[in-house]
Amino acid sequence: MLLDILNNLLGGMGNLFQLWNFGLLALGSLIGITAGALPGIAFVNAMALALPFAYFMSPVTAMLFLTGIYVGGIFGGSISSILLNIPGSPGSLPATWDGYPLTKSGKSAKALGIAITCSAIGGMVSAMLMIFFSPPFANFALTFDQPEFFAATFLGLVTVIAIAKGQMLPALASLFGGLVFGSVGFDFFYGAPRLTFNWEVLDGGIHFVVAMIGMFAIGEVLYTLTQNLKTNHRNLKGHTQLPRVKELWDLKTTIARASGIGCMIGVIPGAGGIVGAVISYGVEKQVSKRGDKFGTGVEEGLAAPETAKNATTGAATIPMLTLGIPGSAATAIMMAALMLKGVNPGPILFVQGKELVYTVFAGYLVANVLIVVFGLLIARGFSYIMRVPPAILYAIIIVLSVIGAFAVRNNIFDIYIALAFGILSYFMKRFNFPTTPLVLGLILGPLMERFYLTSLASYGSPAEFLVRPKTAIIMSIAGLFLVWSLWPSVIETIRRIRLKEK
Amino acid sequence: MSFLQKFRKVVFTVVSFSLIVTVMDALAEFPDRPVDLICNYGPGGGADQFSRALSPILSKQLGVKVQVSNVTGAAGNNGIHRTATSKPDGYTIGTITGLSVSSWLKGHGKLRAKDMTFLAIGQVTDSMLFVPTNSPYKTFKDLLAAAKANPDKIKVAISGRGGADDVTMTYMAGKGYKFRTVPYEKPAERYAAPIGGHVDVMYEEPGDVRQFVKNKQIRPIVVFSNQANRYHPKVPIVTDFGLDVYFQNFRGIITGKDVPKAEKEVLNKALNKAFTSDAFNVFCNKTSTCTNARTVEDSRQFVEKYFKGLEKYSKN
Amino acid sequence: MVDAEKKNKHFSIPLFCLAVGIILLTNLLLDPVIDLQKPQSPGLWPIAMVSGLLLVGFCMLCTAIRTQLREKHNLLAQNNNKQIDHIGVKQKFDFSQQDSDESDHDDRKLFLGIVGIIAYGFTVHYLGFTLATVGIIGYWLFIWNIKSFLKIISTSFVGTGLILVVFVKIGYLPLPKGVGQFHDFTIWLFRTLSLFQQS
Repeated sequence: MLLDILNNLLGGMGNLFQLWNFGLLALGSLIGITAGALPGIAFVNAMALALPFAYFMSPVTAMLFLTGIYVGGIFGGSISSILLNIPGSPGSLPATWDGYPLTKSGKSAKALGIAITCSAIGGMVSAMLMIFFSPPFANFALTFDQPEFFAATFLGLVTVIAIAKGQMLPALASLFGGLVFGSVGFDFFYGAPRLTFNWEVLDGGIHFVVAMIGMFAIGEVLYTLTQNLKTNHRNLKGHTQLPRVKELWDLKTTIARASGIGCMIGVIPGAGGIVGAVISYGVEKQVSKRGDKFGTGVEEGLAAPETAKNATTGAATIPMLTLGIPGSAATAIMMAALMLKGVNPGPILFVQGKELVYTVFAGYLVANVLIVVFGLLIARGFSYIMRVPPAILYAIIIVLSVIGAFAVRNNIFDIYIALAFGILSYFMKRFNFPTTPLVLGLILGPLMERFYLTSLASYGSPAEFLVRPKTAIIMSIAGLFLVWSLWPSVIETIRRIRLKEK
Repeated sequence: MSFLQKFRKVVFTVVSFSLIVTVMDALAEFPDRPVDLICNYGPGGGADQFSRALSPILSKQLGVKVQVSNVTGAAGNNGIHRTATSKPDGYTIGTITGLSVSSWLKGHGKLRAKDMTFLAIGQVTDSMLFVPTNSPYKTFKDLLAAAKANPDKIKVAISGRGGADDVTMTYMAGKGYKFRTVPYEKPAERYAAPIGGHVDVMYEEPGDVRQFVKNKQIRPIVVFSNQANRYHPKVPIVTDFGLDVYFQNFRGIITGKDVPKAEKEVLNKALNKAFTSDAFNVFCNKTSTCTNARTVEDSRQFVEKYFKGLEKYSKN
Repeated sequence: MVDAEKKNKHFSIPLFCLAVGIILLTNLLLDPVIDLQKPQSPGLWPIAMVSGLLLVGFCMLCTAIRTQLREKHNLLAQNNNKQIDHIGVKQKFDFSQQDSDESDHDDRKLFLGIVGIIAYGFTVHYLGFTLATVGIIGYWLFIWNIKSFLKIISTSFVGTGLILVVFVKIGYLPLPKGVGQFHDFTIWLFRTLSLFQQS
């Protein structure tokens, strides 16, 4: 198996270094880092906007392009975090806590250097995990029938909620909103139209890509329009100084810990870069000797979240590729690109589409190296990038999202759906409702319904979900997550009751 | 000049330009710009392979580019609707398949056979039942006997309720062979089901699963036809077992019903030439779907016969 | 004022969820297509999901009522901020990207933006993609306080041109051509700009 993987990976590398493939990976990386660095455009938005371009690339090239944006973009946000104290992408929020103080004390070059190298290392570790873990897991998943897939999808939905913790109810509302949207249209068994209000155009359902383009591109444009965003970019010093080997060696335990945390968080659906980064920062703060000085510009405080957020990338791709169940907005977009080209991710892909899978693996490795190259470049040119007039940028974004929404099914009605979701997401954002659960509900809901109904048709009773060994295990993990996430509120209630008794 | 005046002037220019364009369009010989070929299913599926194989060949026949775009959703009816209702100038043609025609029985889509022109039929194929190579059912006779002995126990993977596959299995249940039908919507999952041992039998067309047959993962056990299949002559035919049920799946090309006759003729000729060309024969032989040339009228009758047959069986 | 708005917000969203849920649920239950007697009925899943939404809406309403009652009894105290804290980071993150501050929103611009976006959606169908795009780019620059006429015109035409080249000439996307005369205009324009591929 191991030799097989290495062999295939070598083939993937060969594929990757063809002109078009490598060129688009590099272009994606550049776009990703730039978009990540610009406040107001997160990498997810950039990925959603890249979709229309992906339509006319081969599946492999499209995946590499998106990989570049994903891996680059999740790093890029740190540039503006460190230099401007504005997180360019949500995952880079913790980089403002110890990165910006370093800038204030005149050590911005060092901070940028640490961010770049740590991001690259975290990403590499995660890519390795993906490369060596996915194929055996896909092999295992080949034995999955519909009940197992149902259980895996259910686990995905439960973790989306479990992650939300303090924001349980809004996240649930958002999730069920997505699930309801996902059940619009023909059911696949009988072809009965549901929730369409006799409106023919809704028969085909709401395509998740259309909704995502609306939420992540149009919603963002509206949000920025009303914000009157003002950034000052005086005395931006984008010089970088890569840390010396000894400096890195001093951070080795931090990096190892953060990589581990990032990989673990990455696999969990619904978590993503921000959660990995924040948890890693928290752990580091408790473990580190200089923990009490965190927030004043400590290297560990910057290295930990930077490593962790990039360490989520490869790990997050595992469930998408092996099961066809995406756990985050970014991987959902990658899955969309595959599906729109007629490639269905899932265990079979590791048999039929080896070439694609391993080229993507190689792409993840190389994209993390490209971070170092382009990170230095873009950090240097950052003050120029900030001068791009936002009005033009956002006008083009609207046009691109309309093209993207249209091209999914070449359907004009999808344009209206995307615009409606854009407006919806604006208001969700304004009232602090998380949008990710809605998107995941919209993607996972129809999958779950299909798996559930086919299981019933095949095995006859829902008891099957608890009897089959693999299904039972996955379901009990989901149950544990549910209990874990509800625990705080249970404790809270008990405490309150005791308070009352006193 | 006020804004309104400016606007009027712009509108006037646009309108007069487009009048000239319309006149020019009428004078030029059809076709003189790219033709849109609307595929009514998503990328990767049978209809998509059909349109991608056809596009370069048809392009050579017509002398203009033929651009494929997928308009998907609603069991293929979205694509049909787009093709049949776009400007009737012959520049929009689209695919239609047996599956989308059978969805009309369920009340899907607004348009029926009378609302469109059938230009030609490109692929016609029998359906078959496949079992895993190591299946305990060696012959169709074994399978029928097992189904009679254990009703509702033997699982058959089909594509959904109400399609030709479901109608066929319902007919067989009426004859005393009750199978349990399990709809798998995604083709990849449907193919994996017998291979992974999750179902006993699969209803499919041979062209779509040829690689699995070639790898000896599954094998055909019966063909739903009243005559031997030209690609699999050894597989027994269903009518020999006293079962009178056979639907052929087909893929054809349609256009709007108001397209001028001359354009229809040009397209029909080009399509028939394309379908009988050597290049297309490579494709249809590979997928076991070759068929003969048909006129516009013949194509319409072919589709109507298919629909009426389905209607008759699903009522019983 | 802000407080009143916040309270209002607390109630309006759960009520909105409940209202939507009830409308959808009645729609589902009254729909003859959704025959719950059928095995694997098409109505099963949507009804479950809508009920879930109703349940969440109900919970949110309860929380809102409880919060307000406690506010009244001045019991709110410190409880509100004391979240369970496992990892040493106190609620520094949530799913939303930035903490939104109500006063920051420019509602006039929001209105203009929404109007523009909706107008774009409809004009794409009737005027065709090309004309609508020239329009929206210009409009967007205009509401973004760019008042130079030359800048607006040049950007919208150049931008549209680039997009046409990429998506029509290279990408073969069948972008909407418009209706009636506008359809003919688009054909003429594409032909003039030689955007049509020749085989």
